Amino acid sequence: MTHPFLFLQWIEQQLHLHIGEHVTYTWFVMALLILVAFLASRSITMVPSGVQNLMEVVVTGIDGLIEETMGKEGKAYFPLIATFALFILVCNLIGLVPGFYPPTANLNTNAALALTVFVLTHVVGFKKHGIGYFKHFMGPIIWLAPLMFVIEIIGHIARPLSLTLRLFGNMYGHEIVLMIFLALVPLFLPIPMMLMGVLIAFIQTFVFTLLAMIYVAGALEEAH
Amino acid sequence: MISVDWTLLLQFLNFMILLVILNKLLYRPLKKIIDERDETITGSYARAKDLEADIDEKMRRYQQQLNDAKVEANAERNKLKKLASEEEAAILAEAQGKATVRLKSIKTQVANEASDASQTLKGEAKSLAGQITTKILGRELA
Repeated sequence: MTHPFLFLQWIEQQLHLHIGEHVTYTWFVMALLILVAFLASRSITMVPSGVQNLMEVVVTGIDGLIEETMGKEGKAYFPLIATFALFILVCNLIGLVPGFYPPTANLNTNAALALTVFVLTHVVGFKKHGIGYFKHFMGPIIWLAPLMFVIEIIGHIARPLSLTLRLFGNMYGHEIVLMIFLALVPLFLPIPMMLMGVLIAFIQTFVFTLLAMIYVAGALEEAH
Repeated sequence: MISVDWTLLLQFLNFMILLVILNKLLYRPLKKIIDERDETITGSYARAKDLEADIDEKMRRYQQQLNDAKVEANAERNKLKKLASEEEAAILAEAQGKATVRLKSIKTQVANEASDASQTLKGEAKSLAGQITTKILGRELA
């Protein structure tokens, strides 16, 4: 199934880069976010207004969510979680604009993000608990430990898999449905799907960010 | 079509670059200003509370001083009143004494004049009686 016309893809084909639309649109999203960040922090005032105010609301909101989920020591992970949230949200949303392709509809983007969370979880666990991090895998009853270990390993591997596929399925599926509806009734049928697309974009961002926070919080807390 | 290839690492790199740039450009300045604002608000709030406590203390002291002054003024007033009433009694007593003396002297004078008058009257009464008798009898009294 071929994609419809994509702006940046056309530019990229002119330059003969052969890099894949998800990368070019990722660069586009990065440029967009950096532009917004620059506008927000250009002239910082005590009483905020405009873009600074908007970004402050976003930052304070995510900060509150992190404190709720991860507690006081979670504040160090704020940049990563906030970047997850902003990046995935903008990636999902630009997919709704005709002529743009959401980078999160590609397995590579999602796998990169999910593997980041996976590696972060274990690095944090080992850094905080040392070798005692293995106690997290043992479970509550000591003589069930071997069985629990296998189950925990499977569960831990399932995490990046589920994170990737959940986001990928939502975004790619949405794209496919939009393409089919576009082929059927070009002007009116995709509109309800696009409205749902906005909702899905926000929900998937929230779910990914929340799960990332919970996994890291799970690695930070004491084992039972 | 749907495959995981080397672009996974490329995307990871992209994400890391974005993280570093956003951290420097957005999160640090905004967190700084949010913390600054919190401190200003807490500082201002604490200062307002201190000022309020100060004002309360000053009001209390002012009231206290007012009360003390009132009590003192009352005591002073009572003392003066007592003095004044004592003086009043003294003056009254003196005047009373003077009046009694005067009255006595006048009474004595009046009594004297009365006895003088009665003496004179007695003498004249005798001569008057002789005159009346002479008039009535038509002749001289023997």
